[in-house]
Amino acid sequence: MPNLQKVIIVLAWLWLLVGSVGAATHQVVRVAVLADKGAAAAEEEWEYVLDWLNLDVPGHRFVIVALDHPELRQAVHEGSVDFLITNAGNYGEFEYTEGVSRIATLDSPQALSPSQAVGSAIVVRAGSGLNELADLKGRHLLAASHEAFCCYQIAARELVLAGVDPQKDLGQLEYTGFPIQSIALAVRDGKADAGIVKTCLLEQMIASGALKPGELRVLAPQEIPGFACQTTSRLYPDWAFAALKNTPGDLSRKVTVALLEMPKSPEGYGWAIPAHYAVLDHLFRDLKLGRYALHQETLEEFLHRYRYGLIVVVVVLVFWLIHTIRVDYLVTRRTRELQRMHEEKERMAETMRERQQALDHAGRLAVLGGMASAIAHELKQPLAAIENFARGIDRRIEAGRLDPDPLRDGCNEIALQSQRADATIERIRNFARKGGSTMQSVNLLAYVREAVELFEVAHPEANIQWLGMVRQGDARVSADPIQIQQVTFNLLKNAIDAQGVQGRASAPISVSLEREARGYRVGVRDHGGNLTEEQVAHLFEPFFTTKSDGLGLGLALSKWIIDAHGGMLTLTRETAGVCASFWLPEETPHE
Amino acid sequence: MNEQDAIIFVVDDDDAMRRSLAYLLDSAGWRTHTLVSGREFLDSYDGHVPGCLVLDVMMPLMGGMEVQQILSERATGLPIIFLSAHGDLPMAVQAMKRGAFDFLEKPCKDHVLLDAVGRAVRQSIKQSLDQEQMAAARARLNSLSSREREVAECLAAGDNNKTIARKLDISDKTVQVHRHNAMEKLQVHSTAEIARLILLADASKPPA
Repeated sequence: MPNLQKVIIVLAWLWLLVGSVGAATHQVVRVAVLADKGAAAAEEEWEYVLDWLNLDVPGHRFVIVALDHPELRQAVHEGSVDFLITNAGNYGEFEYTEGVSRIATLDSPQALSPSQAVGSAIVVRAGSGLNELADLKGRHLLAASHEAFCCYQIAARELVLAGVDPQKDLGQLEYTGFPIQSIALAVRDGKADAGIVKTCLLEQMIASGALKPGELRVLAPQEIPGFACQTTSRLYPDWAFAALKNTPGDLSRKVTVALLEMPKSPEGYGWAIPAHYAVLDHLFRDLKLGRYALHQETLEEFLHRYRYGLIVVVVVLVFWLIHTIRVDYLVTRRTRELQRMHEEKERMAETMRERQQALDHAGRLAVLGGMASAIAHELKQPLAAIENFARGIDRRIEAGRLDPDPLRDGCNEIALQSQRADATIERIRNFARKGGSTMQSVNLLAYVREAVELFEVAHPEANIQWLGMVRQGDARVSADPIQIQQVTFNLLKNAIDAQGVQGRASAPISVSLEREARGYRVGVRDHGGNLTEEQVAHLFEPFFTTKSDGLGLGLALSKWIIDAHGGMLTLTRETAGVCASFWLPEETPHE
Repeated sequence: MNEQDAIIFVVDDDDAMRRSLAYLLDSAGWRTHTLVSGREFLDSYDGHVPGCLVLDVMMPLMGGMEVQQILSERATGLPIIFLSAHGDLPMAVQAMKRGAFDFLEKPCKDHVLLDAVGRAVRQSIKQSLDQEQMAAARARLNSLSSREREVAECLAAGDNNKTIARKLDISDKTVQVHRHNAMEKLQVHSTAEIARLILLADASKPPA
């Protein structure tokens, strides 16, 4: 036995030695995590992601730093961490105040898409007479905390839009803290009239038996097609993984790639290309938070600070004049200060926008780099043809065969092939064009039809059939037409490639445009053989492909584009084929 | 049979590529025939020689390698020049092993292609002529009776009349009669010419 002990001690020493050498060469990367539910829970929740980063990004050691709201704000402000993982609301605040930039968005199993993932449900007792948001006036409402995104801010915006000011019009607004399950239980037990919880919590509690079905219901539920849970609010983007402004760009890129390549966790969580967080701006505006808080808060601050002074002024008339002058002076100075601060924040926001655009552009260039071989092939054919025609003409002239007709034919062919090459280059340039997308009101039908026509020119063997069309001019959506055409073209290309592999390139491909829910669905259905359930599940991941010459970026890129449009891209297995379709919300008059 | 009779078959699924190859070959004075797919070529090809086949490797449905396989089963002797957009070395080696005339990378310089086509057509003509001569020689040899054939073969091997008489166990006189008849039927004047005819009809080659 003593021998065994010795061996263990020696092994332990060796391990420590190797460990310390390893640690010395590894650069520590601190990843802050918003810990609403306590540090232990947060560390356990994000352990999978950190393990993956430690595995996939060599030369660095990633450590979790679990922080609550005030601690996180201080850490980000001081720059004592390199990355942070936080909810969309909190991220939106930091993007504006601290210049952090998102590199990936969480992809949750229950979410519609990374940009439509989180919402609030206001729960009430099933038997209560509350039906509208306006019915909450004068009632007792529970929320987690003033800073909670899912369990206060999202719902608060809906209340404000319904004409209920949560700070003034309610009978009582009580903050209970976490866990939010206690909010639902308190409402059931009659301790309050209503409570704000995260969407899907009610469904989860019923499934786990913590609540009986029919005890609670969701107040004023919104219909969102494809979303499994009842929600009172619209949906917002999921948690963001963000880099601080001083984090080295090289490290950010490595982490981005690692996150996008991360296999789904056992619970089905993964990472996606960052969602657009512009929708948060509307939330902050309606709740007068973030940048919109500037004037409101400082006026309150001002009144609070000089409350006693004002009373004194009223009481002591002697000081009236002096005091008004002083107040006047202070107000002017303070306004100037505010003005300056506001301008500085605007400038910062502008820099942020530029940085984000540069990142988007870099992303497109990276994709282009991968597509280079495919593009080279597409350009090689017309160039080779041009050379053949030119050499042919030269040989005819050399041999004295000067019939005008064949010579003219050759020249025309050269012109035609030049146009073909030019069109290819134009398509690539449109795709790589610098700057963000240009959203405009478009007729979806016209652009989808044009994409199909382009495709038929490029693939004369394709047999495309139109099904279930809406009437001309009906399908109005707000979209970037070139991007939508790229997606349509891409789905058609996938369809014909899948059929080509089966030797059935000319089998019919059905294209449909239908009205669905509050939007339109464009479907492309092929007869290219069966995919397994597992293949379908992986199709959206970057660099996954079933084609021998594919890059595996087409679908990931298409999904990114459709997500950015607030839509949904879905794939369903059909008998002997696949139906790929995307849904876009109809154009709304404002917002 | 000469180069004017040659037809250059061009098989490529890309319209521009096919038309431009045909134009170039036409400009260099060749007669061309273009086809969109390997299947179309195999269905329409009637065994015409001389000529050659300019064949794209990568085509949907039926690739160039498969066309070569099927064509070799028909034993037409049409030389094949492969064109490949991807310099695929293993595929080139395989194609050459199976008897391809040449394997060129696309885009290839016009003189490289035209040089290959010229050589392929000349090989096709030579092969056709050889086969014609072989057929003629065989026809003449087949006109002999079996005894005359035996005597002719012995003569070609350099035996004199006496040796032949002993070998075949017949009289000297009979050998002389067979020899006279054989030379008359074969329309030759010397034993050396008999040897040349037998060589041309070489039985180790398959019949045309």
